[in-house]
Amino acid sequence: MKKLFIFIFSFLLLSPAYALPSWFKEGVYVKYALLMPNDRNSKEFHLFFLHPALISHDVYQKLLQVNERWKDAPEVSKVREDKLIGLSVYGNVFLTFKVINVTEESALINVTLELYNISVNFWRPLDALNISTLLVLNLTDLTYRDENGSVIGRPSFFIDPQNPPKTGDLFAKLDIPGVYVEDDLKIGNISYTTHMNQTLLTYARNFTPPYITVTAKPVSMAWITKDSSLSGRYRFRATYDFMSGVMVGSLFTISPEFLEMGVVFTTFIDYTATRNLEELQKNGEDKVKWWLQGFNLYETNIEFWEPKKVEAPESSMKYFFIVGLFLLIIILVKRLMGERK
Amino acid sequence: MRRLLAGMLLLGSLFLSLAAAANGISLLSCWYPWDYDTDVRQWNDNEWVWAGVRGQVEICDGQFQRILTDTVKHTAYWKGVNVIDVVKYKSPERAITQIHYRRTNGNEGYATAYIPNFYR
Repeated sequence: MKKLFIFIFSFLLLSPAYALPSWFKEGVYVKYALLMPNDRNSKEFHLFFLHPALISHDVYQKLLQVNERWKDAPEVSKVREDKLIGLSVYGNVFLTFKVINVTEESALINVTLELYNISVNFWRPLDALNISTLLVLNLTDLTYRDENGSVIGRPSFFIDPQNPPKTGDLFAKLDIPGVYVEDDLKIGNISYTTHMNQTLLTYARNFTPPYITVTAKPVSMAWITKDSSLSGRYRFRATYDFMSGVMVGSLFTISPEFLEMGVVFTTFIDYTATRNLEELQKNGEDKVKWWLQGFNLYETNIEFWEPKKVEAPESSMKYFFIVGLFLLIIILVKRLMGERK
Repeated sequence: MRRLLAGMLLLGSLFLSLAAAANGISLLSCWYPWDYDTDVRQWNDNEWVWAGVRGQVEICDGQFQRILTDTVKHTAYWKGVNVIDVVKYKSPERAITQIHYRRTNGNEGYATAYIPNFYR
């Protein structure tokens, strides 16, 4: 008894404030997609802006090679180190998060962004580009840390449903060379009622309510040089499965993981999901089903808890009930007969 | 004699025209037309989005060279939709206006205009 008490006590002491979801193990991955439909029109493409100082050496070298390949493209569309690299993407996009090393205090998260059918600086075709990064996730407070141990953001691909982020929490540190912002990106609204009556459809599986929707407080951004500029708002919104905390889908212009990869601004929408959503609306099914329009879950090795039909276990108790019922009826009949006499 | 003269004249004019053609390639003839693009999404009279961009482009010998970024103007108008963001981008190779909207039925989308559009 004493031993059991000590065991329970030590278990309580050791368990962190942020309980990790049970699926969070080494080797687990979640892959999200933006699938380009075959009937893409000329206004349907994604924009990804890369910062030459923040992207990896390999990626920058690959983009520099594009300069040599397209001699007939205008000179001004060459990749240079003093301007943002604009990619228009006409093909599929995949975003994969992989848990690769879990210790007591931290985990390594490998994030990969795959882009297909690209135009570099809008003029120079490139078949595919892979950008990846490795992030250190502190498991005691679920924040990403840089090499000095400073907090740089929170993971976008999952939350702890029992301890979701709170309004005002830092979501992504916006410390980008040459980019003007008013503030860091912080958690704004947390909703438990968004899509509360709808099954969310994704490429991998269907999710059932409830959900937790996290929205960051938008931050205006501007990047200005002598002859070019970019302005918009840094935004982030994601919907998480209430049971597992896994992200179902999200739509954003920045995320902590994108920043680490050197992607400093993006605009995208999943045109396949959008067409699927319009189909649901046309058929009047949108009251109970919905497609999120950003990155949607595409593939994972997480085993989700599936609701099952529960059947009563087979037991002999039911015969006792039947016999008891019969006895009661017999007693009742006898009593009634006796009263009449 | 006449035939020889006519032949020499013909040959001469051929050389001259060849020289002129070769000269024409090296002598850049540039012009600066206005280019523009719009993207209008309209669902009814009271629900629409209108994204536009215009600016001068440099065309030399029929080839696009650059956008004169000082001349670029972005325009964004809408009615009856919730506009989440207006993204404006300009650089010598491309200028873009993109409106990110959400309709009352919950659908989101982009209206996107970009140049060069006619002079590519």
